[in-house]
Amino acid sequence: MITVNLNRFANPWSFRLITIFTTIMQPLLRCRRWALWPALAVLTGCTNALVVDADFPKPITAPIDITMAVVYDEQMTKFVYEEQSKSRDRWQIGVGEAHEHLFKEVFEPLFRDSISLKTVEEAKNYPQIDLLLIPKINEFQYSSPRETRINIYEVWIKYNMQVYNPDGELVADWIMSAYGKTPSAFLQSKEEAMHQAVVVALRDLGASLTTGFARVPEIRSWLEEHQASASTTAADTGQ
Amino acid sequence: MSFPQPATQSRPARSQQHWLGLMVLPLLMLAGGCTTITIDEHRIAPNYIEIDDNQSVVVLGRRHSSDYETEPDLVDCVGDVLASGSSGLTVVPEQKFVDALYPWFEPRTAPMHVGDLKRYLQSPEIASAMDTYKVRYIIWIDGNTETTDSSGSIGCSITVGGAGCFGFGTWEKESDYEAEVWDYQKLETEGQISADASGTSYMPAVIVPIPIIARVQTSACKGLGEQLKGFFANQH
Repeated sequence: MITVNLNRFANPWSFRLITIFTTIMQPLLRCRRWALWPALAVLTGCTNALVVDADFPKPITAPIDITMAVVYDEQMTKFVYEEQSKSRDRWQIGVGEAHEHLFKEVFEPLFRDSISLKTVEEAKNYPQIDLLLIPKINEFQYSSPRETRINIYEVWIKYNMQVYNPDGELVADWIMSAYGKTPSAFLQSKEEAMHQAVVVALRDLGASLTTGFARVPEIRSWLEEHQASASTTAADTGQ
Repeated sequence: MSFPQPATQSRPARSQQHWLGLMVLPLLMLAGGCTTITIDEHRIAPNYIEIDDNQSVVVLGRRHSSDYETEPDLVDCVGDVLASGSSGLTVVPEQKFVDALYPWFEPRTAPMHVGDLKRYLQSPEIASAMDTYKVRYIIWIDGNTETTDSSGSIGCSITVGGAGCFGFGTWEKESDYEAEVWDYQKLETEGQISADASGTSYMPAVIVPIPIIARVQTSACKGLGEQLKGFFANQH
């Protein structure tokens, strides 16, 4: 008989799961039919796969008075995180489409006009563009309760944001990060908990963009110059 | 000399006993372990808090800490307690409010002090969204429930003749929550309440494990909710 010492597990749910596990393992340990082991290996070696799909609210904000084009290239829209480490759980997390969805919800009220593009070349078809944004996912990291001993799934995503003017000159290039965690992970499946953590991270990204885009020093300078230039043009036109 | 005959049970009587057992088992599973709760109140307003019938409150959980989060189900539970009964308040659901005010009440952006609200309300867009819900009071809840200790051992086995477990397990949970009431109109704190609850759950296992759960978080929720309701008690 297999016994479990509860002192080793801070979470009572852990020992319940282990109890169930030992219940299943007991006959297998005694079993001489080795043919069962490959089946067990398949069962325990499954990949946790999920595609993040969520609705995001539109932010409440005063729009910045420019036309912004955003390039959603394949690096962004088809981004799938795959865990490479053999010592960790196998994860395959599709976050690309969710990012595109979030950006569209956030940029629509954040700018006077926003245009979605698939490639940089398409920008030539829109002469009204003031700035062109190319967001890229640089890094995706997570931690699970098994690693941290806290019943929380955590997700960090690092981005590189590049903004160009209509002449193709780089205006700003900065790194952003988003963080999300989900509580009570033991109440849900691993996939649900991870999904929720990613959604919280994406909301965090949306919050950072809404509150911080115009505060990026290079963007702020460009906006001030653009505003001054627009005022001068308006004054000249008025004369 | 006659000896009393051993009691025998007919087949239907055994069946009744069997069903009785099946009915008692869930009751045992629902039986709660012991829970103690301590509520501390710090009321800044000298009297009860004023709230009109057409005004509402929103209960929000703090999510800025790195190692815990105030559980959404605890926040919902407190909201349900506040909304219940004849003197119930109009409570705006947390997620609905947070989505409507996005991104100003996200973990990273939420105001930490009542004075921060002034800065938010300088934006006409945020002020207008707040007015839509006729929110008079914002109740922030910060804290969580965690397992602090566990001991015992349970072993289970399956044989050809059947399966069963034997042993005894116990674990202790502690809740520690603090609620702060902000007056959205006056932009000041009206009061604070803290609720500490702890309880021990047991799981004896003789063939079948029977969990006797101490509902610590539920007790903390009810204690906190009723005490908060007392802030508004004489208005209805």
